Amino acid sequence: MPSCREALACGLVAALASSAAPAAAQTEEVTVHGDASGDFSSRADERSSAREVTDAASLVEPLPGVHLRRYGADDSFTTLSVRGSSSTQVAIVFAGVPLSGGADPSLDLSSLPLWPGAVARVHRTFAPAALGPGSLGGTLVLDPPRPTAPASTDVWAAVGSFGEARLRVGDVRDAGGGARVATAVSASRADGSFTYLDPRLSSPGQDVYSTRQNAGHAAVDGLVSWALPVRWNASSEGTLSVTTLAQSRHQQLPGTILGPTPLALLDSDRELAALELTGSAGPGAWIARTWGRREGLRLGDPDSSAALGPTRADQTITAVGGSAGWRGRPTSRSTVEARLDGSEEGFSPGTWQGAAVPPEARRTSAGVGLDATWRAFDALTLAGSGRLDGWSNASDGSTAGDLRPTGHIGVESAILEGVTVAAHGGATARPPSFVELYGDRGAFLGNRSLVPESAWSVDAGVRAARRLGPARVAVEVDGFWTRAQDLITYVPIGAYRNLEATNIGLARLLGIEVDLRAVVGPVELRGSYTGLLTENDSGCEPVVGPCQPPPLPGRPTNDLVADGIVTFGPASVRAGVDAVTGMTSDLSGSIGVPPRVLMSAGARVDVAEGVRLALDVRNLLDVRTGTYAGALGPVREPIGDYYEYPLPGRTFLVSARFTQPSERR
Amino acid sequence: MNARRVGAALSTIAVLGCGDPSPSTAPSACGPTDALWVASDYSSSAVGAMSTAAMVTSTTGKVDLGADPALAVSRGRAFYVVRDLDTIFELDPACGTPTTRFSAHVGAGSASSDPYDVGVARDGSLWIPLYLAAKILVLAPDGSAARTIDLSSYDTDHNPDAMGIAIVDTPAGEKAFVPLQRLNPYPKSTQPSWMLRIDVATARVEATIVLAGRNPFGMSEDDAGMLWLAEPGNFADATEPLAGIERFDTSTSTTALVAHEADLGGSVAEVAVTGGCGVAIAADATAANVTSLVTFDPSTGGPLLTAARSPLSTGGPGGGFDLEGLAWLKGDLFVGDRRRASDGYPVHRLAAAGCTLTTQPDAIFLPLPPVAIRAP
Repeated sequence: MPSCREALACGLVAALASSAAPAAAQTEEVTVHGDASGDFSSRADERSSAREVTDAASLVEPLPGVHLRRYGADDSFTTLSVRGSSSTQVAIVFAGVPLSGGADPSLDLSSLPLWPGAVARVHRTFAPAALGPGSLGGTLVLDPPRPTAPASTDVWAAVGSFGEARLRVGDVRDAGGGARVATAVSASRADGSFTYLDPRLSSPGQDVYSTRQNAGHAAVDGLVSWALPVRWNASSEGTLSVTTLAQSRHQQLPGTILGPTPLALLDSDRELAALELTGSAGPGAWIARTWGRREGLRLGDPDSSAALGPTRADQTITAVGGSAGWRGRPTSRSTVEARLDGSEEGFSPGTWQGAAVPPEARRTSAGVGLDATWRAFDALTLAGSGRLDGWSNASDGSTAGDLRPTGHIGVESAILEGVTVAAHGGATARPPSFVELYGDRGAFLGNRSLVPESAWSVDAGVRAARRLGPARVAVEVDGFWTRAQDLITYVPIGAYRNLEATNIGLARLLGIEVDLRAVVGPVELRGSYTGLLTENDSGCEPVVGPCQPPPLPGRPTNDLVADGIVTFGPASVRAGVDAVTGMTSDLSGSIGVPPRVLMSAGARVDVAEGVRLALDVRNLLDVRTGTYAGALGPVREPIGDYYEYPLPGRTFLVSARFTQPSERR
Repeated sequence: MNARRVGAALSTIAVLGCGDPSPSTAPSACGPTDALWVASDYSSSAVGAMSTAAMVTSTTGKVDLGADPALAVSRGRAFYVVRDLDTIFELDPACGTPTTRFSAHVGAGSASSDPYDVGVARDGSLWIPLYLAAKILVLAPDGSAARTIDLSSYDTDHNPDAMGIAIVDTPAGEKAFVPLQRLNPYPKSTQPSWMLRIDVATARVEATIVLAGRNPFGMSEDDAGMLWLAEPGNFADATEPLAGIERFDTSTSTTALVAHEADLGGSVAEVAVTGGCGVAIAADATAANVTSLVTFDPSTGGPLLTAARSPLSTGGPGGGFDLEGLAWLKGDLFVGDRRRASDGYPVHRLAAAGCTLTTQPDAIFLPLPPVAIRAP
């Protein structure tokens, strides 16, 4: 492994370059607090982002511990890795409803809706039991505008490079009789047709740039949620909350630059409804929630062949679930949240052409969870969170299940005024997905003997928020270690190298996260840095001799997102940097991905009461290629975590935002 | 070296002296080598040279080596074929180090052409079958594209799946032989496979010969200039009557299925013949396609050691399609194994007495799972 000290020290120094906008208030907000269950989590608010937020992925991109893997421009397929996890190891929850599951464990972040006032929170590794089954990497919680928020109206519109056009509208208001309503609509489209260095058509001394074809999208999302006060009896009042969501998306699928799919399309829709009742009970409140979710996906690729996949594949994912529990403060020094939950998820293939139809599958799950904190002393809080989850999978007439406990404990202590140390340790798990268990009757072979992936993790860190002379600083520094086992890895099987999911993966991950915000007069700095060392203990580097474990592919050793903002009256300017270094792209860790340092810049100006105009320029220096080691010397390839999925060069986004009432900002 | 030496697909047989000089390469200084190898875990790849005692050179960690390589040898020149990148690297035939890069991409777009093999003509031109583009690309000796030969009319799905090429000096002149798998619908083998015979001088297809077996998957040439085709038919069935080992006589363009897979005990993936001994890698019909080394009499096709009595098999927990790379070197048989041992991925050596094989202790290890081994 590379030198831990060297890598992390480099990152720490780099992390001290950072950013932000409406300065003072945000320094308070960005202090990263542990959850009631005790974990390291961080929060991103669409309204207070240093950069113009284009999609849900860009909202969480600046958070520590988070690495986004984009497979193209904005709104292309994007997956989320937390603390070096794979994309299947992050649970995603929207408005209390789990979006990832057995049928779709690796959610495309670009398909998540985004509105004014949307808030995302990433729980790193450990998550509250009340959120439902977590995963090895953690949990992303995305919340829409709350009807109980202050009344407001937000409109955000933008146009940008490659035919990008976006509109987001959010409104929260009083509906009379104590009822509150939040409505939101968003729409976007883009061509994604940037140019990239084409390695197939280029030759030494002659660069050929091709245009990414079939890389666009169009999407529209709508949300209505309302909250009604409920008086259960003379001593119990509560709220009835309903959230409904509808999404429709047309996504072009460009494939890789080595295997382009110029006619592949994915049309999808998602409908979701959640109903939540609360009522006071003793020193707390009871909560009951029920929800339903349906997703339809229609994949078409008339240019495909049996070697590449189906020419048409329709499928439906349905899920219903519910939970009930109580949360409160049994004593003045303790908090408790207990939750019982369950769900039923189904995968149904529809019309399928050009390939075998994958099997139907269902998963029935039930779990019980408890989050508790106890303030043992004034400066010392103990926390614990535990779940017991059971599930049963059924497909092709066979049923199999499992029962698995997970949980963690933590301690948090205020050692100085404004300085807190915290540490956590525990176990996490992820059950195998349907395609891992049952295959797709095509290139993926099922393996019904799979056991859940699991991991032991610990983390510890310090948080501080205080004045240092003229500066106000909020910083969190933590380190984490994970030992993962039974990782589900696809192994090539047979003469045609079909892929079979197998529990052979072992990995160790060690990292550090830094989240820094500082304000000095008109200057604000924001930065997050993640230093990560990984070891794939089920692989070997390409050497003759004893096995030397390689790093996990696609995990950067250093990942920095930083912005510096200077505010002059109604205007502000921003300079930012996104740096990713120390990544390999292959299983044996021999192909080093060139470091990627992308600069960005932006400007915002409040032109009238409640009206703000903004310009964002990303990849300011138009970095398009990186230099790899080649067989005959250095070779240039497009930038990207995997060069087969290039990232765009310089892009522009011009936006306008109307906010009423304006003082809320 | 046999004057009718040829380029072929995944395996070899010929025992050739090391170091026939490539006209484009400088003298090598890598020590004595007997064969070239390519290896890949299908996310990155490596290439190098080996002697019969140890691995000698290795080039790894280069992005342009791609993820799906093949190795071709023809007229004493060696080539590393980067199937997924439409690139060919000529190799120093002694050291196995890349020396020159050629583009094997055809068409204006980015769609893969998928080069599979390289045959060298007498004039130094390179003939490259393109599996996905359904063409043969001919590169002039300077590396420029000289012509393409369209193959789309040789199957109703417009791609006859050209899997290799052998350029041979026949009594009728210099000919290129191109096996066509004709998988349709891909990847099923449901119709006869063909062999194209192309006159090299005119680049005209002279004949299509219907092969006796189906789905040529590997091709090699023996000391006598015969082409040997490994024909698994469908890997999911190890008892197909039209699958096994086929011997193609390039001087007469006649052919025969000499050994049947049912008799050998598995679908044949690679074959190598020398003198009076033929060896093959046979795969069983399970999803894992467990491989075994089998032997047969090349004159009669009669099986000598079937899969059930194989001296080398990859069964057991986690075992599968693991034997890849088969070559006769200095009278012994060398077989690549994709299962990592303590010091790397072994190339097993089996001492041969006639066609009796005796397993020797492993001494050659590669850094990545082997794909092909060939004498240069």
